Amino acid sequence: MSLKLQGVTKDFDTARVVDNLSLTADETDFVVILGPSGCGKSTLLRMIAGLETVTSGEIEIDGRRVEHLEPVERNIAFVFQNYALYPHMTVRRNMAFPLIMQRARFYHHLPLIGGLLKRGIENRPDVRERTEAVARSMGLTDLLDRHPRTLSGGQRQRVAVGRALVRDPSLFLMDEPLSNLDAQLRVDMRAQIIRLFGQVGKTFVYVTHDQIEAMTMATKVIVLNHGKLQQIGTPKEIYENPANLFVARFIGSPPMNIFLGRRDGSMFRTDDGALSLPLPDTVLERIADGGALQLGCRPEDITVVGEGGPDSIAATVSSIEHLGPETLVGFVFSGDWRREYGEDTKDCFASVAGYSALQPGQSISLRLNTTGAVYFRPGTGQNVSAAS
Amino acid sequence: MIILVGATLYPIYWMVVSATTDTSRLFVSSPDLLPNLSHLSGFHEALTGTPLLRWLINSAIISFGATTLSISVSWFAAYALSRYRFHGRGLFGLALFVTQFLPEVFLLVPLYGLFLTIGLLNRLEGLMIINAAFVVPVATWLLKAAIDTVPREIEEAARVDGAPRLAIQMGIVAPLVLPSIAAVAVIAFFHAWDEFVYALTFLSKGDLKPASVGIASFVGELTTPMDVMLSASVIYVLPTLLFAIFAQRYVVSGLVAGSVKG
Repeated sequence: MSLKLQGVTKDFDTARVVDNLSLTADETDFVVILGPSGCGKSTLLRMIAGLETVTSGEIEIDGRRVEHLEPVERNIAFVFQNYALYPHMTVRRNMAFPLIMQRARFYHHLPLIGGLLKRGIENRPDVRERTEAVARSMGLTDLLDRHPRTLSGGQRQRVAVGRALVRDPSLFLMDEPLSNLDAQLRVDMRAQIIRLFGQVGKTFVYVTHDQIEAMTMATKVIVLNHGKLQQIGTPKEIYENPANLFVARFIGSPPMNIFLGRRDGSMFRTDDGALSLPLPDTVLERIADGGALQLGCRPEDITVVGEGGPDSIAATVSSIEHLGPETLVGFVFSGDWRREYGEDTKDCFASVAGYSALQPGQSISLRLNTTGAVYFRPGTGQNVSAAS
Repeated sequence: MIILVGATLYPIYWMVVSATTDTSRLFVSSPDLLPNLSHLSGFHEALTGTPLLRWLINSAIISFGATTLSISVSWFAAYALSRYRFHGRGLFGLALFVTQFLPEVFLLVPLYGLFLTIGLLNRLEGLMIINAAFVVPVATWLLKAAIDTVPREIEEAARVDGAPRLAIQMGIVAPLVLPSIAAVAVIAFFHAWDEFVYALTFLSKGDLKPASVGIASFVGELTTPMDVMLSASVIYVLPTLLFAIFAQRYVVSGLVAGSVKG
């Protein structure tokens, strides 16, 4: 196991930012820590890196307890959100810096002459070869003698990743490395990082608030909220079977539709009677008759049907978003689709393949695919339909 | 702007003019307005007839010592103020400011007593310490403000890359705030070079005098060789000019650009 966290907790003064978190990951894992701003995901990553102390709990890297070790002793590489390159050094020196530090003696750190002495290390054949090999793999060969300020954002980020690669760490930590790049570049870099993960065969821990990055890159997603673990699972598990309402709403764009209702015999029924669905056994075992329930349903599990059939639901189109390959149809059950927005008036969405000619205000009929439906217990928000 | 520059440069110009004018022609009703380059005997006299070179060397030793001391002390204070959280940090910063309210002469007598006890009177090191002490508060604030602008992530990246803490300060942070270090060097150097009262009081031996005190000693009870004194003054000003030009090369901005996303 190349990374193991056991009950890791972090307090800042009185605030608990990471609460009793445990996790394991091996070389085949691309772990993505996902959560909204301020959920403690960056703090968690910084604790693994050793840039932040641990209030309590254990961190193991390659079977070695590391909580009390300096970052460099943990054999990790860290890619920062804002690149954190050394602006006064060339790209070559930036990338070779970890190697130079491994080989430096005290006199290499002296002011003024230290800079010149470091050039000696930089030019040693082993350092040179390693730096140039990594530069080649990152497509940076032509930029080696330039300074960071002359590079574009994407190039800078490649230098930052190159600096991480150069000394062959056992763990790669990345703190939102793509969030400063524009959309096109982000897609390219995403592909590059996935390729890199395949090449180096080391554990990656990647922090992001972007669920698309999480879904596309991760083999294991950790969803955090308010410092608490919400769910660990593959992207598919998290998407299809969210552990609670928070995960359900946080993952997916647009988020999962939630309908409020209660158990009525073996059926789920919304309070206004618009929706009525048979409940699975797992829910029947956990929720008493008449108990309140929330039904969650992904937009792609809702089909817009031509005319009202036996189990179809009447609704009114409230908005239309054409995305190209699909159209998002916003709808409400009541006829008043122009109603004021408030906390409890979230739009529901259905996803229609291709271009839809529907217009806001139009009456439609919907059909729910019950196999994709999940149920949550109101209050705690726990998923009650998942097989335990 | 022109008026300001003129007002600043005129006394210097007048010093050059007076240095090249015979003392007898200095106090006439229609003085010479242009330097008389044939009358350079004042310079000759200042360099050969007085211990001016010795005084200048003393001034240089004091100034370089004070500059080095100021930068070293204020650097670590500034780094701590900028990067570490500790009890009384705000108070410490404020206290540095408060020291600036006191006129320097206030401390003359107590410091004299102190230096007498610890044997630092009539030593150039003593003057270095005093001059550095007066510059350190301002220098600390200047450097703190500069270090504040260096993103923490750069230092954290260096920690992950294995740089020792002192190496991070010297090899990563210091080069990025070089303009401010140069500014501190200019302030400290000029302060020590120009300082008069403490040098006059604390250095009573003739061969320890710095140039500021030495030149003032030309003013005699009965006669003052104005051209020699002003020629010495011109020579006295030249090194500061050279130092300012040297330091100015480092006072360039935009060094941090490109490290992190702006």
